[in-house]
Amino acid sequence: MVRIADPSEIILEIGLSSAITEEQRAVVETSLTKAEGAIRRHLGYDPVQAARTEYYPNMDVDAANQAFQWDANDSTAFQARISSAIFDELQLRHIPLRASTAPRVFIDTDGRFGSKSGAFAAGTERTIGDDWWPQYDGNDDASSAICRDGILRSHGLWPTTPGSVKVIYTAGYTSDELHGKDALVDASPIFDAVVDETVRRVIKAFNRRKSSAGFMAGPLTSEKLGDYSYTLSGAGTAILSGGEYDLMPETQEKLAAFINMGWMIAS
Amino acid sequence: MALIKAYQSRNLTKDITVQDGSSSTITLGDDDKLRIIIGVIGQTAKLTLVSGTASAAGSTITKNSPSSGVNRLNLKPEDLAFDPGTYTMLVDMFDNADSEWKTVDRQVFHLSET
Repeated sequence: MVRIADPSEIILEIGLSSAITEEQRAVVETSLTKAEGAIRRHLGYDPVQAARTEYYPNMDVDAANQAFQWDANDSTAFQARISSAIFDELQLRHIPLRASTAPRVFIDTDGRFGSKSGAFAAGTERTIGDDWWPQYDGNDDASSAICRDGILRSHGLWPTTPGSVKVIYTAGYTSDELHGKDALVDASPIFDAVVDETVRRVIKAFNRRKSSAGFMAGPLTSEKLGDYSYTLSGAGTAILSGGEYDLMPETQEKLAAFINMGWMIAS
Repeated sequence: MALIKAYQSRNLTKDITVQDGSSSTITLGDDDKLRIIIGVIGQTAKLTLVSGTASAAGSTITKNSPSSGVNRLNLKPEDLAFDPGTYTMLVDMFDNADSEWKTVDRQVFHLSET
């Protein structure tokens, strides 16, 4: 799995780029893995751009997206059903969907998640733009379309049989977008969250040691030059390392705009 | 161990000394090699350079120069044209006696715009 941040970015952040030991580097790398895992769990998807093959829907659902509107004739009020077939939606798990590699959709009503021999043969592929289309709402800096919400719309209802729709697509953010270097797509809060959460885990790992507070001094509460001594604030360091939260509330706030809410509702 | 700070459009020269576990300097033999790889771990490297083979832009690692046991890394601006940012620089040594690449160190490499 491709990392969101490089260990060197964390080492620079904690001020150990000139004097890190092999043990400290190992702690950083382990903490980075744990922090990225926590952030992927919180988002519900992997934000790093990658090609994916997935099957939808995951559960059998009613056509609950039918809409009605009230109408009335001279004497009777009644409901009129509005066809939802013209704009039925399928929510992808990973976002944002990228057009840089053309997404492909296959529909095989007996496809069985691709496990059946001959399922999703070439003839079951549907034409983008005619049969279905992503909800492209912008471009990236390479002028490729991007679909931030990961919604595919269908000309006609999507099948409701689990595993009857196969989608091959590329989704996620590039390294530049995650590092805030892209003019049009800014996913830097995700990178920022990874750095914050990794640093917190590194501090916590060293604070657990009895011999010292590790390489991070933490807030000083007193310092004396003659017969040099100092006192560290345990409470301050505890705030820095944030207890046993999987993610700190401020990290969750940073990530709020990137959670795939549609998938949480649809799945 | 040091932070390596580099700038686009500028040369970078650093001397690399390889030490064993006892902090004694290792002098690379004729068939030993020194290699650097700059990049993000898990992604395609931005730059790979091996002693004895200059890059197309002319970047080099010269063994035992300027002195025995000191190996000079010289990077040309054309090889530092990738995106500014923080990368890991892996330093490896090919130990001919064991016919294998051995990890020497990993440095923080920070590239800035000039």
